Amino acid sequence: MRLIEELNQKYNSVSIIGLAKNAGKTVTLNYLIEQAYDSNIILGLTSTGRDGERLDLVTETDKPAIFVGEDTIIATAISMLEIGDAGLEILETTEFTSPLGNIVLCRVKEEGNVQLAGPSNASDTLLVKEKMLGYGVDLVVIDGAIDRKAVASPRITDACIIATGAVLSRDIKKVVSQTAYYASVFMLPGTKDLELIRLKDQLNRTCIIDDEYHLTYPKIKTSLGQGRTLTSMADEKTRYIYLSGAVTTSMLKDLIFGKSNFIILIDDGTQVFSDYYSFNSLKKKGLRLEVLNPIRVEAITVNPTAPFGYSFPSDELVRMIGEEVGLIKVIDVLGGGV
Amino acid sequence: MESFIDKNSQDKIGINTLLNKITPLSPYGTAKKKEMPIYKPGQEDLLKTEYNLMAYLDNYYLDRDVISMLNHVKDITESVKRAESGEVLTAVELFEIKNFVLHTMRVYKTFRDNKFYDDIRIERMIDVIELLDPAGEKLNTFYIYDEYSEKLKQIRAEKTQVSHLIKKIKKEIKDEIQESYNVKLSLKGDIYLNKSEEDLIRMMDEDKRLYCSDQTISQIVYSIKNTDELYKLDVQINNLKAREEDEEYEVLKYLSKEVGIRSGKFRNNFSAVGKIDLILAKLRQAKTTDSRPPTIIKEHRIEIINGRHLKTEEVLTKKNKSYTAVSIKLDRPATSITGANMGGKTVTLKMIGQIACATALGLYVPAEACTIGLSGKIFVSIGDEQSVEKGLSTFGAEIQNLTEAFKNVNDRCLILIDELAGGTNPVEGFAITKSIVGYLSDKNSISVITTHFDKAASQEVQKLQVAGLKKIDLKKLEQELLENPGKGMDIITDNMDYHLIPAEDYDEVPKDAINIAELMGMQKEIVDQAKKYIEGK
Repeated sequence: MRLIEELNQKYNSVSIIGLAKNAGKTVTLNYLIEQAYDSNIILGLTSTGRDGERLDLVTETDKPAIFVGEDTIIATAISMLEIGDAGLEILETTEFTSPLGNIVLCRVKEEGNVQLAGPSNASDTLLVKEKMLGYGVDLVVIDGAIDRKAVASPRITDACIIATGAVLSRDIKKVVSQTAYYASVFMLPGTKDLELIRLKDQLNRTCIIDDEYHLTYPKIKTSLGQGRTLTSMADEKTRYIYLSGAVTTSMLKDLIFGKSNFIILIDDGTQVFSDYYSFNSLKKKGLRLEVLNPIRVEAITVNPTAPFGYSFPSDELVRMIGEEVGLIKVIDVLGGGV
Repeated sequence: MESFIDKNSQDKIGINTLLNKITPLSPYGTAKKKEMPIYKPGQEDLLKTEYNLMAYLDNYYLDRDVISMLNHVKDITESVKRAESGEVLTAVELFEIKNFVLHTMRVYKTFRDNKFYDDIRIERMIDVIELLDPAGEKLNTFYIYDEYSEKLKQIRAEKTQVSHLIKKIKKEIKDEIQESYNVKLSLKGDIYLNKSEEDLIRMMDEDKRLYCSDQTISQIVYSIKNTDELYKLDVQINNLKAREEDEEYEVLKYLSKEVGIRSGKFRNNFSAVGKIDLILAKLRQAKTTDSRPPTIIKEHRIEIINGRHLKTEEVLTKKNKSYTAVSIKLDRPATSITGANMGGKTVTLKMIGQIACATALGLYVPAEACTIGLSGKIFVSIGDEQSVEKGLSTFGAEIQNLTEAFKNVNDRCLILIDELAGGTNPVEGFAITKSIVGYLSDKNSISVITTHFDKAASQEVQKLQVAGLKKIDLKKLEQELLENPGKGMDIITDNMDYHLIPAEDYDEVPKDAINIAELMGMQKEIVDQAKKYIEGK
C-alpha cells in the first residue's frame, strides 16, 4: 500500500519533521501530495514557520515549489496568496498571526503552485488543523522542522514522518546515528503504569510522584534549570518525577545525579532538547525516561544527496537507518520510494 | 474629554473604572467608544434620546444574531477607503467585504422597523451580495468566479484542456519508457540508477527521449525530455496563465470600483454597527456594576440616592467588606461636608464626580436613583503625593488648582474640593476656607467642599456631616478593641456610619477625632490633655 493510503487509513493528521534544512522535507511533502493526488485523497496543508520558498535564503539551494491539486485546502499567510499561481477560493480569514500576515484558509479551485507559511505556534496550528478537518479534508499534513518540532506532539498531530538526509553529516555513520537518535527520542516508551495513565489529566505542572501516587509540587515556576531542587525533594519513596515544559541536557544531568530510584516522566518526546552524545551518555548513567503520550513515527524519509555536492548510495543509507530504527519504514523519496 | 474634566481629575474620581468595563465586541464599536461625546448643558434632549436608545436596545441585550454579528464583523474601513480612491482590492479584501455584508444582513431586519433611531438602522446591501456571489451559491467564501467574465471562463477552460493534454502525453511517454527498460519511475517521472548498472546507462544515454539530469558518485538520474509538442504546450499554458492573471485583475478592478461607488452605504453601516455595539457594551457595563439611567433635568441640580463609588466598592468587595451607599442632595451653589477622619468624605466627593462624569458620557450611573442637571465642567481638588513630588507643597498645589478652576466659576461647573486648606496652619486655613466657601455660595456652579473647620460655612451654604461614630456605644466599642488588640482600624471602619446627615449643632465641638485616637490606643495622658484643651476653650 502507498504511504499516503496507509496514513489516511490510520490518522487524521500527520506532521513532517525535517532534521535539518535541505534534509528533503519539502520533497517528502511533495511526494505525499503527488501520492494523494493519484489516490484521490483530499489533503489539508499547512506549515509551521515559512516553508516552500523557491529559493532557500540560507543556503541558496533550489527548493521545490508545492504544487497542489484541486480541492486541496491550504492554510497560509495572507501575503503568500499573491505569490503562487493556483486558483484559490478564500474560505476563512483567521486571527492566527505569522510574520507574513494573518493565516487564511483557502480551497484550491485550479491546481497550481502555492507557498505555505502557516501559524507560528503549535496551539494555533492545532486550531488550524481542526478547521481544515472541519472543511472535510481526509488528511491534514503539517510541514514542520526540528526547531519547530512541537507540532509532532500527539496533542497536535496523530503521527509524524521524520525527514533526514545526507546534509546532516559527511560521515554516513553520523547521519545514521543522528537520525536514529531523534527517532528514539520521539519514540520514547510510553508508561505502562495504569495508575499513572489514570492520573494523566491531573498532570500539568512539574511534580514529584511517590509510590502511593501522591503528587508533591515544588515551589518553582518552571522546571528549567531546577533539577537539583527537584532531586533534593525526592526520597526513597519517589517513584516518578514529572516534568512539564522543555527538558534540557543539564536538567537531566542534575536529575540523575546520585539517585536512580525514580523514572523521569514527560508528556511526549518533543519536550526533549538534548543532543546525540549527551543523551547517550545520560542513558549509560542510568537515565530512565518515559512519556505519557508516545509519538507514532510512521516513516523516515531519506535524501541521500546533500546540496553541497556530496551524496551517499541511497540503498545503503536506507538500509543502515532501517537497521537502527527497527520496524519503521525508511524511504528514499527522491529515488522513487513506494 | 480633557476640556470637560482634566486628566488629573479623571484619575481622582476613577472614571476609568467605568470606562474600562465598556468592552465593545467589534472594531466598529471600539472606534465609537473612542469618540464618545460629552453631553454639555443644552444637550439634555440629545442625552435623553441616548438613554432611550439604550432602553430600546436592552431588548436585544442577549440577541444571539446581533451578538454573533458583532463578534464576526472585521474591520473593512481601509478596504472601502481604498476602493473609493480607485485602488484595486485583493481577493481577501473582497472576501472580507462580502462577509461584512452577509453578517450585517442577518440582523438588518431587527432594527429596520424601529421608528426613532436612524443611527442604528443597517442598510441592506443586497446589490453587494449579488456582486460578490455571482453564481448565487449563498456561501460566505470568495473566488474570482468564472461568472464574472466570459473571457475568463474561456481562458480557464482552455488552460484545463491544455494541462490535461500535457499530463496525458507525459503519461504515455512514461509508460513507454517503463515498458522498454522495465525500471521504476518516480512520481515526477525520473529514473534513479546505480552507476553499476552500466548497460542501462549506456542505453539511456542513447535514448532520445531521455537526458541525464543529475548525477552523484554512486547515482545517475535520467529525466524525460520535453518533446517539441510538449514545449509548444508549455509555452501555450504559460501564455494562458498570463492572460488569466490579466483578466482576473480586470475583474478585481471592476469589483473594487463597484464597492467604491457604495462607500457611503458602507460608512453608514460601519457607524450603525458601531453604535449598536457600543450601546450593548454600555448596557453590559451597567448590568455588571448595577448602574441605572439617571433622570436628566434642565436646571443645575443633583440628587443622588444611594450612590456608590465603584473603585472603592471594588476594593472593599475584594476585602470582603460591605460598602455603604450614600445619598446627597445638591440644590444650591455650595455644600460643606464635615466629619471625622476615616468618615468617607473623600469617597463621597469621588462618588459625586463619578456619577456626574458618567452622566455626561451617556452612561448609566451606579446609584439607586439620580436626578441630575448637566455640568459644563467638572473640577476636582483632592490632595495626593504627586503634586508634592512635583515640588509644590500641598497647599501651593491646591491654591494653584483652585485659582485655575475659579476662572470658570460662573459657567455651571461642578467643583469638588477635599480638605480645603488642610495643609496649612489652622488659623489661616480657617480664614481661607471660610472666604472660599463664601465666594462659592452665590456663584453659578455646584460646589462641594469637605473640611474640618466646622464653622466655615455661612447661612446660604448647605451644611452636612458624616454621621460618624455619633450613634455608637463607645463603651462597647472600647471593649471590642480591648479584646482584639491591633484590629483598631478594622473595628472603627466596621462601626463607622458613612451616611450624611444635616450638621445642626454648631456650638458643640465634635470629638470624633479624639474618640478615634483614644480607641486606637493612643497614650491616655495625651488623650486626656486633648480633652481638657477642648473643654477649657
